[in-house]
Amino acid sequence: MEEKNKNSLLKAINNLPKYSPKDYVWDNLDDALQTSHADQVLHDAIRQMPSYKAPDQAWSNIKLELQSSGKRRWLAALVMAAAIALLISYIWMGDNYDFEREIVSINYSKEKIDTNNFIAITSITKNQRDSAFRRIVQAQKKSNDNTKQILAELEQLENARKRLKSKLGKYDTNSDLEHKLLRIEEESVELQQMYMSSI
Amino acid sequence: MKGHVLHIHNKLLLSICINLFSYCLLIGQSVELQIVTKQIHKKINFEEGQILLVEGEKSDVKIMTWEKDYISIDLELKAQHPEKAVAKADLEKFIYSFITTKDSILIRNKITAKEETLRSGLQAHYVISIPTNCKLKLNNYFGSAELTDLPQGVDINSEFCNLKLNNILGKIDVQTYFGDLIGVMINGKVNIKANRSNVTLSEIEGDFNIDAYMGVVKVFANESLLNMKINAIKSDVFFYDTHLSGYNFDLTSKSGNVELPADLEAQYSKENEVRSFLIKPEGEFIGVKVAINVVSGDIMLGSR
Repeated sequence: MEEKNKNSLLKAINNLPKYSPKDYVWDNLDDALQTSHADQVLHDAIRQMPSYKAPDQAWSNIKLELQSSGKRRWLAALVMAAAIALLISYIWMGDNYDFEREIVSINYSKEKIDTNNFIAITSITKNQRDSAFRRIVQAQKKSNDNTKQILAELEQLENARKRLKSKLGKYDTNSDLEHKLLRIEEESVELQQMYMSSI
Repeated sequence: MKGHVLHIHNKLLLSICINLFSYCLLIGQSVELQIVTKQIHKKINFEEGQILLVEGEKSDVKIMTWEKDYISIDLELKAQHPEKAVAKADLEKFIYSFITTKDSILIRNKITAKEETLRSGLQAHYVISIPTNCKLKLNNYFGSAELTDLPQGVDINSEFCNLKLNNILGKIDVQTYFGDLIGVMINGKVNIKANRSNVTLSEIEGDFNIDAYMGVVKVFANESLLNMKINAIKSDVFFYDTHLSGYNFDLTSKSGNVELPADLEAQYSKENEVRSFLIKPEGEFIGVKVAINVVSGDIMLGSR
């Protein structure tokens, strides 16, 4: 088959860039080939080496050497055990020391608190109403058993209220205690109403 | 005339603005408090047979058991006031102590100052871990207590202190005044005296004796219950179980209502204003004995 564009092709091929490998590439190839050859020579030489059996004395010597090494291991184990014992006693001593010790620290911080969270002590006493009520109670003291019972309960509630209030500061925010104070107040009001209706 | 009306209109507008401003100030008011906190950590050696006494004032106390053989305490004492110096001075009057004797270990905090001289809000928080073989007595006032996993029972005397008991075994004595009690997984010989306190019990076993005055008693029982006596004055008592027919009820009521499920047959009698309802299980089965005696309060039995 005849190539019709032979000239064009030859021209194009001649126009392609030409590269020739650098010298070190040939050097590396040469080294690699020589190393491979050297390995082969080494392996052949090893195969041709004579073999020897170790004399019995050699083995007994090795055994003796191993025994002395075992002695050293025993010593190492002893040292390790002593270290562990020391560590345990340190921890134990540390615990004992802790029983004597009291770790105290004081911290300061700031917090913005909504005034609604403070326990509303002033709004629940209603002193004026109570004192008016007490005057009525004084007047009715020698009344029937039912009213006496109500009065006794009112007195208990009043004591409870005083005790609780005495423990509350202006800046307390314990909602449970506030609920208890409100409960006392509610019960007092109920009892006062019961008393009023019974006289 | 027109100028006069305009003047009045302006005054009205100004008044509304002032009122609105005051209202806004009121609803958004907050105070910056200086909080001084003293944190104490302490481990106490525990010997078998010693009893732990915890006495708290204005304290939130949490006590639970752990696997270790000593007691660990984390105590936080807090004072808050707008002035740091005041908070600091008041905190000095909020004292604590740990005292160990041969038979007991006492952990205590209290307020030493006269109440009226205190200006700060004071609060103590305890977290105490105790060995499983440690017995506990708690006296707590004006706070709260949460006790968890105590296999040696507990003896509690508290005032103004809400109580939560969770998984407590053994002899359990509780006296509470103005402090609601919630007990879950309570098992043993239990005595509760609740004065102006609500009592709610669930998942209970053993023998219960409850005296209640001015409160609500709610019992969510199951068949593990052995015996229960409730004496209540001015209190309502609710007793719930899915199998009410397995119980041996003895209910007495004075000045109150008794509400029973329709399927429970009761022997009814009345003497001197006291109404009695006896309900026994069918057949020869004795049933769990539950005696409820209420004066001036209601009794309700229900299925849950």
